[in-house]
Amino acid sequence: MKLTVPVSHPDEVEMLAGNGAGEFFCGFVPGEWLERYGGAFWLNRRGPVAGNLSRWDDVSLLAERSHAFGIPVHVTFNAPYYTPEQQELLLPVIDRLARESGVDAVIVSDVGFLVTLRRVFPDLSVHASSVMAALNPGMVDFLGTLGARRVIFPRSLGLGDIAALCDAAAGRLETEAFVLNEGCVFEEGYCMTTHRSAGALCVQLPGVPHRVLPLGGEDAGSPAGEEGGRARELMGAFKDWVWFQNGCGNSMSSGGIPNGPCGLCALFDLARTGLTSLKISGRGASSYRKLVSLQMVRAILDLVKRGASREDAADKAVALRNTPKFCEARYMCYYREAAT
Amino acid sequence: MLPTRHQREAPPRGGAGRGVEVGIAVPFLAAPPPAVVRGEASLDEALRGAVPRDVHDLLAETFLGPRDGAGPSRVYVGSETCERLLPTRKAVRSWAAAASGSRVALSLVLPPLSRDGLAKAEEAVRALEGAEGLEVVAGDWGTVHRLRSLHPGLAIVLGRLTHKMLRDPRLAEYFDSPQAPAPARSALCRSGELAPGFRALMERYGIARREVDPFLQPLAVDEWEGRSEKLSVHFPYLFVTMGRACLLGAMHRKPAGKFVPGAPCRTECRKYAVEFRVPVPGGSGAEKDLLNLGNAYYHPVPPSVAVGILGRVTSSRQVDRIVVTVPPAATDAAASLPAPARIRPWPPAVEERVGR
Repeated sequence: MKLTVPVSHPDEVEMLAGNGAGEFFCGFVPGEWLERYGGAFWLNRRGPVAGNLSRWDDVSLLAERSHAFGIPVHVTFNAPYYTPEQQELLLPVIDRLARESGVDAVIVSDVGFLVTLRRVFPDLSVHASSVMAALNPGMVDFLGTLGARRVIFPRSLGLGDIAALCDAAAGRLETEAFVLNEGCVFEEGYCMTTHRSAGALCVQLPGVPHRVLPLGGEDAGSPAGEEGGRARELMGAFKDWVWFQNGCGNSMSSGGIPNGPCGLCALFDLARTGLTSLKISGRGASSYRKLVSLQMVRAILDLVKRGASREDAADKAVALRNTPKFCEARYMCYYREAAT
Repeated sequence: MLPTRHQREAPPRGGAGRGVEVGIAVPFLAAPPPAVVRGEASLDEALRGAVPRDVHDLLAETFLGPRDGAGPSRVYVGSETCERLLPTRKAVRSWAAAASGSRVALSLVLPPLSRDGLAKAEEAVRALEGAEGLEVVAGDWGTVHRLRSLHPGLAIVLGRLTHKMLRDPRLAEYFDSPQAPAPARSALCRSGELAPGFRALMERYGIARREVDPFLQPLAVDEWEGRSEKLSVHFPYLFVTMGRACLLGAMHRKPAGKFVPGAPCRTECRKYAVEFRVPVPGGSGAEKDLLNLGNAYYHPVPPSVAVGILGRVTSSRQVDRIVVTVPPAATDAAASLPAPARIRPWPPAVEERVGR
């Protein structure tokens, strides 16, 4: 099982390769896209600057350095959709990335664009982004039929579903799941909001005026008594959960470990699902955060490979984080069923 | 007069010269209203009574004749966002019986499905095989793929969650701003569904209908008319987002067990909603309503938007159906028919903001 690691500059390659990265993924926003769409329509799930490469030379250099370590590079084109005009603009971009820059695969979310890419570039590997929301075996079959090389599972899947979908994909599709850092509260493939200008809606919600409304018709009042207490507690917990999912306010532990969404406790089980790779998110994060995230996953995964039990691996993960109260809250966990 | 699906008479519809079907979606109703099951009311009467008053007012002049018998001719059963609300095999059979007895066609609505959910959905579809006018509204392509392979003749509709376009109510009204680059404005007012790849999928899977939202931004003309498939437009809620971890479903769970995707719940969504008021960027102080219903968030579209879209419907070649979603309280009221005076579709606070 490889570790798929974000990269946003060629200078990060050596450091991340030396710490166990097995694959890289990055974003690229060419000048012609920015000229046409400015910042109003993002080419991928990050803004046009943060976390994206913008120069052809940088992509080529990044790929060259990665290949020197035997590491493939995947470029993400994971906007929820592209209009016909945008697809026409992107086809020559992707062609050039593959032919001249040496990019190994592209990641897409628009199912129609996947079909077109497979038709126009039959030799290009195309990965189905988590934004495509492959939640069931029908979707795995569907993607296999369309000729996708890999399916990236959404973060909301539990370990049992991941294992079952890996079985469904076996022999036809590579598989990838999240292990660290990405913290969307909603199902990303069905979230029609934008972070542009307004920020993430999910992060905003707990802080805006809200109230729980009973739906009992004319006679219904506000939830009172025990139910009223539960409603208040619910909204407090919602605020906590969103904070944890949002990288605990993008904070770090006193030991310099980035806080936030995490699947370290589940590595014992994830290693047995048949996954091709595990994704560490954060193209827009600092080089330091990328490095420490990779080191944490590598450390626990190596422990599992050396024969650690499920409990030992999970205990070590919690100890490594050194934020026991955060871990106890469970709200950072991708795979809560595996949490100690 | 305008022919409906069952050739009942309906009020004239300006200019288009053909029928617009009205469907009623009851995502929070597990089974047909007891009065319908007891034979004290027909399903179409119950559906007519369940249409929220303000929505009814909005639709009445054009589509829902209050006096001449025209009314909903299709019922949408099941939730578009939550598989916990997927009707049981027994429930779908009772819906089919009620629909058949009332000459109302049935649409089984499926949310984005998990592995278990897909298995249950297949069971529900099998239970409905042969039902007149049956169609299945799919919320993901995996479900489309599976159902098409199992049921080659089944009418499969693409649900609105599969219509990938931004509809963030905080910003959508600015998507067509003259201050934005023209290509960006164009891209924010259309989807990728007219591109060759998506067209090939529609043909391959025999999709003849897709559902769309009541968008706040003005959709490009070709987004409405440049398709081969027919369109159904939803009212009065614009779908905004959803999570597989449910806010209300966490209400009765212990703290460490809250917000787990797919976790058990007590269907708190049938009893409560959460209303948020979200600020619009720019510091104007303007706010948008966001209504949490179950595991999804919706924006009740203002009447001005609804009127504009209904104007489009009356002249459209492709839009031939309106789907009105009935929130939980209204379905409770429908369940206690006959007592139409009790119907109060939304809590007063919400009602004030929606179409008043």
